[in-house]
Amino acid sequence: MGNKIVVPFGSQHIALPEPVSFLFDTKNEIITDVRVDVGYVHRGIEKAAITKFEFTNVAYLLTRICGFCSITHAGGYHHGIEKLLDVEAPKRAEYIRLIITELDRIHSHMLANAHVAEVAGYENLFMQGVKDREIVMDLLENITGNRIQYDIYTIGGVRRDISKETAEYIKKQLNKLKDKVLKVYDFYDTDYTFGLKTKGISYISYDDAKKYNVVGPIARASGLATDARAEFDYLPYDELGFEVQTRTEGDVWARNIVRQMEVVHSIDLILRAIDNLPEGDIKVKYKGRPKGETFVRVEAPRGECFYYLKGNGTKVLERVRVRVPTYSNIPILKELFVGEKYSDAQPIVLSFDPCMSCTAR
Amino acid sequence: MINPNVEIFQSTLETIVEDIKKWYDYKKYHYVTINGVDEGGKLRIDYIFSDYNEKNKMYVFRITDIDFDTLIPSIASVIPSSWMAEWELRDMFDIEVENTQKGIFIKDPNIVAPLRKDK
Repeated sequence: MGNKIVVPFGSQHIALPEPVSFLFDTKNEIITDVRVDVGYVHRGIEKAAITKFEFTNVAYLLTRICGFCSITHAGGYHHGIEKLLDVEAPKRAEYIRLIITELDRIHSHMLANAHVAEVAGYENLFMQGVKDREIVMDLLENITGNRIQYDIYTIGGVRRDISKETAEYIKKQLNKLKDKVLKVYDFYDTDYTFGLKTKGISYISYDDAKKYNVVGPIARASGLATDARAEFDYLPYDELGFEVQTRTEGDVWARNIVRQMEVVHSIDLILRAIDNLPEGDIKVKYKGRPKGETFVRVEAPRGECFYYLKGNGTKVLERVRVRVPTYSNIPILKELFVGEKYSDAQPIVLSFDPCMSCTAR
Repeated sequence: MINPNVEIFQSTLETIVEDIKKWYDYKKYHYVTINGVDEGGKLRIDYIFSDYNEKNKMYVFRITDIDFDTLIPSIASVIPSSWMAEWELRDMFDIEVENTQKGIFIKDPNIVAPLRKDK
């Protein structure tokens, strides 16, 4: 038997896009205990939202919580504040919001899967994934004006419309992307060596996913069909035939497969939204100031994102609470390491697609 | 417009662990988070849940009028993933929560209880 060795993983590590620290107690390279620290990028955003900004400007702050899911934060905030102001966005705006939200999910999932491929030794596949992802980034820039941090949400609707020419361009590009995504999907699904490196690693059972309140693709890869798009009405997903994507294997491989399935499904949802884009205004006026409290659930690329807003009738909100998906998935991640090899720590962490700037806020 | 169907159960510091233990079934309900609100010198804590099977349904166990020098019981024995929110509650409101450590979210010792209005 070997001696206990403590191995630090982070806070700065070559495999981690963001700072998080895990201290692994290991024996013969097997992890026996873990200590986790997540607060390296705490920016006091909840505090700033209730002291420095009026409610009309809080969204600019909240969308900067994260570069990947900024549209989720825009959604969480705007759906909540519209409830407090009793204002309903026009149908066309809701469809445009859905299109941007799903484009955001596609590019986030594509990068997450590319990262897993990279740490599993498939650097070329990483390059391919990132190259294909540029199609989506280009579409987002085309529609919103920005590649990331697209402040297209506004109270009562959206800032920009989608023209007929842009709609046709989106359809053409997404059909092109779908072919590329399906090829990569086929690789993840059938490649023997990729399977050897990812199948059976960091298994989460259906029961544990429920016990630890796991969210997002991590839960859905364990057969738990939980998705805020199906469980909470905030955008017209029902009208477009949204279906929760699940697998039952519960390992690193299944998480990649679920994300890839969701990319394909998101492409289909956007194509249907474009074909059924309602005519009409993209924005309505609102009056008053937010009063009361509301609870919002929206589905970020990484899982359920929860917002709590409380207004007191003034320009500044009394409480803004953001609970992001990585925050919810850290407890099971901590448990999962125990019993696994230290060498598998990288793919395990990256299969969770963690976002520390969201978690610490 | 969103239409959350929120059911609120009033609870107390003395009974919160038992109340949640009696009601919570991890197969039916999804624990969302714990939320603290400074209501002018007194703390309010919400334990928030959603329903896997009922759309838009949410449940809140609410404790109000908590003094900031009170020890908050931990619900981690009932919901093992709740420790993150309990540790954050401690950092953000500088309030003692059972079995928690300070500093997981805020490293700077000069920043104390940013979400308290009196700090």
